[in-house]
Amino acid sequence: MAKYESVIGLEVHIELRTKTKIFCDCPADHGGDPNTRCCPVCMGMPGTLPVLNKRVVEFAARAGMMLNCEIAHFSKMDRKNYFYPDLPKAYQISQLDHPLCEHGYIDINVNGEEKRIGITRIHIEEDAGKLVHTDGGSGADCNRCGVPLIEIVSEPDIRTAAQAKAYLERLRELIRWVGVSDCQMETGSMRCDVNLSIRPVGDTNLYTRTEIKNLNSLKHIAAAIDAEKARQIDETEAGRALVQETRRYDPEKDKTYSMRVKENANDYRYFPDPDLVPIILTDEDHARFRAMIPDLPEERLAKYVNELKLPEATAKSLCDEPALANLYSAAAEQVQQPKLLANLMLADADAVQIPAEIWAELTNLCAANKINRSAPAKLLEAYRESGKDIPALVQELGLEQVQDTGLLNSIADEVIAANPKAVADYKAGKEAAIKALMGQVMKRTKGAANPQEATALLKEKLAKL
Amino acid sequence: MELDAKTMETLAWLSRLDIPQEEEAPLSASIAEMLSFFQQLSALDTAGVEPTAHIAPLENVLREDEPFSPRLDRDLLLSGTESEDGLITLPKVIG
Amino acid sequence: MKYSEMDIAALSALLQKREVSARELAADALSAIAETDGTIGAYLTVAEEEAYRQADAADEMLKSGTAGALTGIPFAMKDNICTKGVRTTCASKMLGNWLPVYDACVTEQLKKAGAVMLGKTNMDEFAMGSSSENSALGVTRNPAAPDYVPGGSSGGSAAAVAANECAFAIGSDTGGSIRQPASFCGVVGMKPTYGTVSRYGLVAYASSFDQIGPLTKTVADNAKVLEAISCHDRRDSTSLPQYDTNYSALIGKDLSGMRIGMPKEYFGEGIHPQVAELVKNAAKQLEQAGAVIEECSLPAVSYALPAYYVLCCAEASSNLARFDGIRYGFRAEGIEDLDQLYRKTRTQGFGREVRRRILLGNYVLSAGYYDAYYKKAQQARTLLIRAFAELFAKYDLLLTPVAPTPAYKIGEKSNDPMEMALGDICTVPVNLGGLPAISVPCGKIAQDGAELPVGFQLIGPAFSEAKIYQAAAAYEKSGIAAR
Repeated sequence: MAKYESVIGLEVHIELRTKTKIFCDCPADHGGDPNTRCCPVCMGMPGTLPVLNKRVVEFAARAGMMLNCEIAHFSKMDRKNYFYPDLPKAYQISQLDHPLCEHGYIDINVNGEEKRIGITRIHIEEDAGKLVHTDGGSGADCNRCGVPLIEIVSEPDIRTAAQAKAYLERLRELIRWVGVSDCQMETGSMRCDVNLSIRPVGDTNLYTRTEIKNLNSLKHIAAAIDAEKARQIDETEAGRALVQETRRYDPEKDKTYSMRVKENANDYRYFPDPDLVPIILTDEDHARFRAMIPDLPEERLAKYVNELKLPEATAKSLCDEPALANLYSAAAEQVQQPKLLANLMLADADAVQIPAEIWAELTNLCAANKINRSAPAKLLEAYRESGKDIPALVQELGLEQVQDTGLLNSIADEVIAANPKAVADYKAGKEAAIKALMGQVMKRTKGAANPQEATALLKEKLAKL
Repeated sequence: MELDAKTMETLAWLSRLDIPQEEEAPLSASIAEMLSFFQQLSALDTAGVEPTAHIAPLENVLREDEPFSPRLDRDLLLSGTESEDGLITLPKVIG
Repeated sequence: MKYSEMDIAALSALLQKREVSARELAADALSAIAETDGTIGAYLTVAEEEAYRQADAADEMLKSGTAGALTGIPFAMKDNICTKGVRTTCASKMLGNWLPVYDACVTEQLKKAGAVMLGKTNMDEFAMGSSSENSALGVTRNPAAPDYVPGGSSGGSAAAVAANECAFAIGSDTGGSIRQPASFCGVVGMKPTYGTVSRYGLVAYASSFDQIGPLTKTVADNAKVLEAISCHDRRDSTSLPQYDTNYSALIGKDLSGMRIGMPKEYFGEGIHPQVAELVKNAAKQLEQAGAVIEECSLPAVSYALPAYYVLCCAEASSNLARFDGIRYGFRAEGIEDLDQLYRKTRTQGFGREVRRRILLGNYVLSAGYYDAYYKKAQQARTLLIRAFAELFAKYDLLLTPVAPTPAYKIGEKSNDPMEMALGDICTVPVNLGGLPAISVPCGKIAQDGAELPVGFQLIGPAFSEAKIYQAAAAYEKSGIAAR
């Protein structure tokens, strides 16, 4: 086998997480009953017209910058004409000769070996609908029609399944990191087609390639690559010529099969869409998008560990969720105890819903012992309900920690007087008995006493008895 | 100029049209006639001339990413369409 | 004078003075249709209930003092413009009884204005044709001479106005489809600057050319209707941001100093001598009204026609691909697989001319031919735009015939698409340039006992509608206008 190497290029489709669709104002998110998230425009009804969603352009440009692409100054939309029941207009609005982004790259690392994979282009286009097959027959659901997509086309720089996997994992990480998609292969918000040809090792020519479509997991992609490479080698060895064609991978049999698409099926008769005018991006636009590009995930992790002194694990769990990491970075600038901030945020299931200022405020109150460690949870709950500012809520819920030692003194004396049994136990050496007395103190201060102080005070008084 | 049967066949398929026997001859003749009419253009010197795709002097016509139109309910959208359980019915054969 | 013979201005005055109600006008118009449309065949659908509903709404506006120039005025809509709940067929078997679930922008604008829609008018199928003979749903006759075609593709709209079956009508113009039938039927037809009237809800034929416009009895009426239907529409990316839409502003102002060029290419071989003569007479009238008329040259027109046909067939092949029998309209019987569903539905659902243009469009766009045909045509378009720009540096407007001939007999040309195409030579360059142009009646030609109307065309640079109306109105006033 070492005699041949495979030459692989990947075409990845990613759904952009915009509020509305690319050419109409229908909701773009998944779900909903069939045909409840569509309108005359995305259903391609006669007379309707597309209007481009501004955020699609911004998201695609940001993705391009994250992948080291050059962003176009002039770009336009074209029609890709083909008939299929999931494509209501019988053409897909896409981009042919002026994609939004070109000439990028991703660096990958496969067991120690660094490799740069070129990105030919990224263009924006509309998603098609879904065909649903039941025993009753087939039906079309237009909910997905017009969901914004970027198609990311790589150079044929990939040589192995492992490299393909590494490329896709890194791609997913970066696109999620820049915050324009959740890139879930399971739900189809990230999809991949594989272009593969083989050649004798050392040969630099490109030979007949096949395209493997509809691969829905990294596992299948890797397996399909190996299976198709093996098939092409067998064919070549057997002296049979390979045909350029579209194939599908069957995980059961671990083989690829020709999809036998008709000749001329790929004559898409592209032409500029007369319904959509050119997209012009100025240097100012580029700068505006550039400003929205975060540092790389690994840079962020290093910063958390080295500068903010977070434990590796804590830093990782923050960086797993780009939105959370960005929120944390914003809040961290406003606090003295970044570690406390991280713990508070990670303790909350829905941290991203709370503004950075609030997180900073809570952290600083805790740090200054103005409230105790159990207060933030209560305050967050109250904040989510009322939206009132934190100081007001601290008041309302009486959560300010008792600093007044005079008050604490008298409470401590009361508790000691009221609990002779516990006192006796403690005197008899049962250290644990102090817990019962602490409990009483906390109860009478409604938890507002500082536990350390209170314990110290009790011990002091008990010692004097 | 002539149009061979193969070309007509491809054209018909790309257009998803059948060409009835009786129409084939006159149709390909009239298409050929039109195409040679179009070829007058080849005499035109268009070196360095920008193609015009849009006549309106417009660029960057973009929408905010917000809903703005009233939502139509499914029953209305699918009125006049063969549908079942909210799905647009397709002939059985498709799969 | 009967209501049905009055122009918008006169009717509006009566409505304002409460001498007639919108409902009475609607009833009157509907009975005029009942009387004459049996022979004319201008309408595909008469929407009586809808008309009375809109008339009552108009009467409310008149009562509450919110009425405008078109409130209560009965009109006809071309059947390729979407009307919610009123069938929209494009005169094709393919759409059959399709009921749009939404209103076109134009439909909304006219409802807002309180105009009263009587029905939908006949046309060439999907606006592909110049005689309305390509309609799959009926024949329309020229009110001036029933054996003759009304022109097309907006033939039903032009005939409805000429036959007094409405006070005004809405048409669409891709290569002359408003102006040529206006000329054939002897009414005023305007094709405004591309982007002036929203295309949202106009079933697309060739998107980069299609433009909606009014057909009326008088020039002043025409300006009023255009004022009502033009707007900036966020649903149409090619809709122009608002500029001065007071199209009536210059009507009545004299023409002194206005420079009008007459490109000689429009008067040469292929142009019916009497048509040329009538248009030249019109030029004299305009001269007497104060305009300066000069002969000029526009050689670029020689390649306008092939360029136009390449581009519009290409766009049409894509625009009409959505008619696949799956979502709306016609679906063929006895389908065994997907390929058949498409091919049988489209072969049976589309008429001959439509199928011919789809095939042509797919040819010029298909692999290997794009540069030779489509791109070349787009470049020719650029050259023509430049040529127009040079002329408009010298002239305010251009004066030409609308069509090389008057109306011809029904059936006379319908089997010769090429000859039919050549008839568009005078109107097509305007669409390639996205320019405004009007057709104004300028006389009649006697032919085997028939009196066939002829119109002249005034072409202006983008946004010059007000000036075009000014010149057209001055000519109209000067009196020898056909009617």
